[in-house]
Amino acid sequence: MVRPGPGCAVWEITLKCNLNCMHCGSAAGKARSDELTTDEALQLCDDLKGIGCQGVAMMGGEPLLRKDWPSIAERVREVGMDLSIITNGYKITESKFQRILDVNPELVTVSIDGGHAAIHDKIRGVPGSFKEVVATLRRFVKSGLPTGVITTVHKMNLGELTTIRKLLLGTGVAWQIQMATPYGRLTYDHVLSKEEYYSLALFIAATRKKYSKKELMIAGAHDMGYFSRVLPPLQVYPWQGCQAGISTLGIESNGNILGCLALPPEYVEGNIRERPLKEIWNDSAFSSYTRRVRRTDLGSECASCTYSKICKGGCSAVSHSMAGGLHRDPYCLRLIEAELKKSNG
Amino acid sequence: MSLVDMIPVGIELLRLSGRESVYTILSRVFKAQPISPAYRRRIRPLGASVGLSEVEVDEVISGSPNVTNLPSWLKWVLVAFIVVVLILSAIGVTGSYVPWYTNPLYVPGTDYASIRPKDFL
Ligand code: SF4
Ligand code: SF4
Repeated sequence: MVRPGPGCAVWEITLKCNLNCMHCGSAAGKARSDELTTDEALQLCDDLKGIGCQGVAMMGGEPLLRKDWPSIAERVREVGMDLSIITNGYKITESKFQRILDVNPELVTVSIDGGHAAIHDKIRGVPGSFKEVVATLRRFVKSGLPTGVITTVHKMNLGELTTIRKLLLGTGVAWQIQMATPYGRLTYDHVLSKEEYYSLALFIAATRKKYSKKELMIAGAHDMGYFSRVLPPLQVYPWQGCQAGISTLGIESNGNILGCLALPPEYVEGNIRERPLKEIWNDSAFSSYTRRVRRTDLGSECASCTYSKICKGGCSAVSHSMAGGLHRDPYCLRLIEAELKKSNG
Repeated sequence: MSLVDMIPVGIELLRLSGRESVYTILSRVFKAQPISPAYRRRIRPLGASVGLSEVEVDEVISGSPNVTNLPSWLKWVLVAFIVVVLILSAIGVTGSYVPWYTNPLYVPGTDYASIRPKDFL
């Protein structure tokens, strides 16, 4: 059966990185020894278009460290797909900046993890990175490119949100907040507790309420929340369940294919060097954990939830890492509210 | 997407199209849970830990909850109603039957990696 293509393929074009972030889910640093060649990467752009993919988010590692990134970006545009670039914003030279303007992406996103240099630099592992990323952000905004900021939250920067908010107010950027999961370099002891996660949700909801979109566009990542009984929506689009292998596709720099890049290596379901992308994507067994969920797959709390048919137990990556199995995401606002209520007596 | 699944989408569209009041009323009527003073006291410190004042927390928990879907019993009542209306009108107009929309759920867009300013429009 030929499936509709993904709305967005998230493509780690290299694992090479010039920062050393404590929460990096792919433990980036050195390039993989077997990364796709330029020809293979360009062919992959065509193949993505061939399966009906609508957009590519280029990320890493630090994607702009791969020398041929402009060729890949241009091919993405040439074949008619949307392009977004997710960069750490560090060491963006004038010529790199110009190349970004030349390829004219739909979105360029930088990561800011602290409102104070000391915190951001500590998280990102390189002194001076805060100063640089803020300067990069200002250049992007000034150039008129649609710009986004991602903040990945864990115990060390939960208290930084109001300061980051001040920094971003009135800049016209889209601010995405997401929770760090214990993959790659992040250890469990840094992951937010459920109560802290609820605080984070409160912050997003309260900020959305307090500021107009003109003042600040803020949203939780697409996998945050789920059907709270108390809070208004955290996202711009309603939650429709994990979209790994449905609306999104993950590509590692060596051609490995997963339903979603947020998932760990055991979810790799093929490599484009061994099997054409079209075959992998259209294989009825691909991402069956999201494409064909049965009620019996759900954890007990999710199975009895009114929204199980739509939600199917939350984010697969969070569920796998924090509950040891799929379809039982404990970072569900609805479940946390029930727990808070109980503990309240 | 089945007809049942289209009901929440319709409600969400009301919200996205700026008809917040209709959305609020619907979600409050069908899903609202009164926030007890004790629960409010439980939530306030969680907000304070990320720099929110009590007023900000109270405001956000008194708005419309993130329930863009109706409970299943109500869905079926609504579906039964809609189906009867559709069948009657279809019979009236064409004298034939009503086809069901059965495409798989599919959400296009690039917001799965990072949201764009455009997504907020
Ligand atoms: S209880 Fe499970 S199925 Fe229900 S909203 Fe939460 S994560 Fe989703
Ligand atoms: S695993 Fe999580 S991040 Fe990936 S598509 Fe599913 S919900 Fe989204």
